[in-house]
Order: sequence, then structure tokens, then C-alpha cells
Amino acid sequence: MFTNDDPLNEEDPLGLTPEADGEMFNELEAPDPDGWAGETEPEEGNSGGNVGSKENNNDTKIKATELKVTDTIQQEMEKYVKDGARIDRPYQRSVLTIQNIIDSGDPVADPGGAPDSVRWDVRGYNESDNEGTYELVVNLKTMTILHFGFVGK
Amino acid sequence: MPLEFSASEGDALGGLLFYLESEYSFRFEAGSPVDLSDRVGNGGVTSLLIGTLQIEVSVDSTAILYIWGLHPKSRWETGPVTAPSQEAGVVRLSGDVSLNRE
Repeated sequence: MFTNDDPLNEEDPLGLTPEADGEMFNELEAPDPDGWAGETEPEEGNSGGNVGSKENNNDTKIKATELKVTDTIQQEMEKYVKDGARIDRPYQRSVLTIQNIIDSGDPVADPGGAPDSVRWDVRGYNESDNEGTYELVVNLKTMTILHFGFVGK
Repeated sequence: MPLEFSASEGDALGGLLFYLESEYSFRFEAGSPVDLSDRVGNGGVTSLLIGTLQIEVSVDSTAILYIWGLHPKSRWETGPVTAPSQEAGVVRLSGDVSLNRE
């Protein structure tokens, strides 16, 4: 995922900055080391496994900034924020989290059967420091996110 | 840990559930966003997953709200279906359950 030995100080691989992307980066910190997706780092002593290790040679061919989400996901993202009081699943708004998932390793053809689609399952932590797995399904033909969830352990 | 559910009398959440073939997904539109917001409460929502199909649950009340999400039609099987008997009510997760927002 990172190109040098100092991932915490690595610039965003897409050259994105909080200023450039507005609220998508509001709660983001530095990219996570060792392939962990999400907003926070794993606890000390937890290696994070080998999913998406920085030795992975996966070239970044998909850019998170170029992905759309389905209207269904968009609707769910907006459903409860009309009063501005709460945002559920804030990770869905994080371009950097999505990019980290994509960069973590090669996806597999969607086992659920969505045509022209691939899926990543990447261990990580959510904004509440709960450990789990990020699930991301992308239709490569339309460059649309069909499914994006976090399954707690 | 197996999940347990309980059903009780009450008004079901009104709305429309439909399937979008272009997105391979189910979508639910609540008849009353205010009613939905009241049922969700302040604790937010989380999901129970059947694959990528999401059963939306209120964290505070553990009430099942609706289903939505990816469920590619290409994997469906065609066959006769007998609709079960049903009545309006509210289904909740029961037992010793602690939910967290995603």
C-alpha cells in the first residue's frame, strides 16, 4: 500500500488532502500501516494479519475518487442525516478508507454473483475502534460500489 | 451465538420494498421518514447480514426496521412460493444482545 518505510507520514497515494476533498476527510487520520483499512490503527501487538500487506504488488488501477455508489447506498447514507444530527456508517464517506481497501490486495470475482463485479474483504477497525472486516463490492463496468459494509468481530 | 427474535403487537413500519435490477439490490423507502426516525431513536442503526443483504436494526430498541442491499438476481432460484400467514407487528432481537453502530 505504501511506497516507503514510513507509512504514517506517507502522502495520500492519490495526492488528496482534507482541503481538497471536503467532508470526506473530516475524520481521517494518517493512512494505516500494514494494510489495515479504516480510521484507526490496530492495537499494539496485533499484527493485522497479512491481508493487504505493504509487500503487496497490487498496482492502484482503481481510484476511489472515480467510484460512484448505487442510489440504494446513497439513499441509506442520507436517510438519517436530514437533521444533521447523526451520520451512520461514516466510513462510507471516507475516500481514503475505500482506497486503502482497494490497495490492500487483489479482489476476487464477486462470490454473490453480481456481474462484472469484484469483492474485497479486508480486516480493519471502524471509527469506534471495533475490530472487523470491511466488505467492498465494485462493479468494474460501471465503476460503481454495489456493497460497502463493516462487519464487526 | 444464535440470535433470537421476538414478535409483539404493534404498528408495522409503513413503506415500499422494491428490487432494482440495475443495482442488483433491494431498496426500502419508508412511508414516513419521521416515523422511521422515531423508531431509530438516537442510537443509530446497524445491520444483520445475510450475505450482502442487510437487515436494518435500531441499536436502541433492537427493532427490525427493514431490509436492503445487494442481492444479485442471477443467483435466485425459480420455484413456487407459498406466502406464510402474517399479521402486522414489531420484531425485535431478544435475549442478551448488545448492538453497536457500524
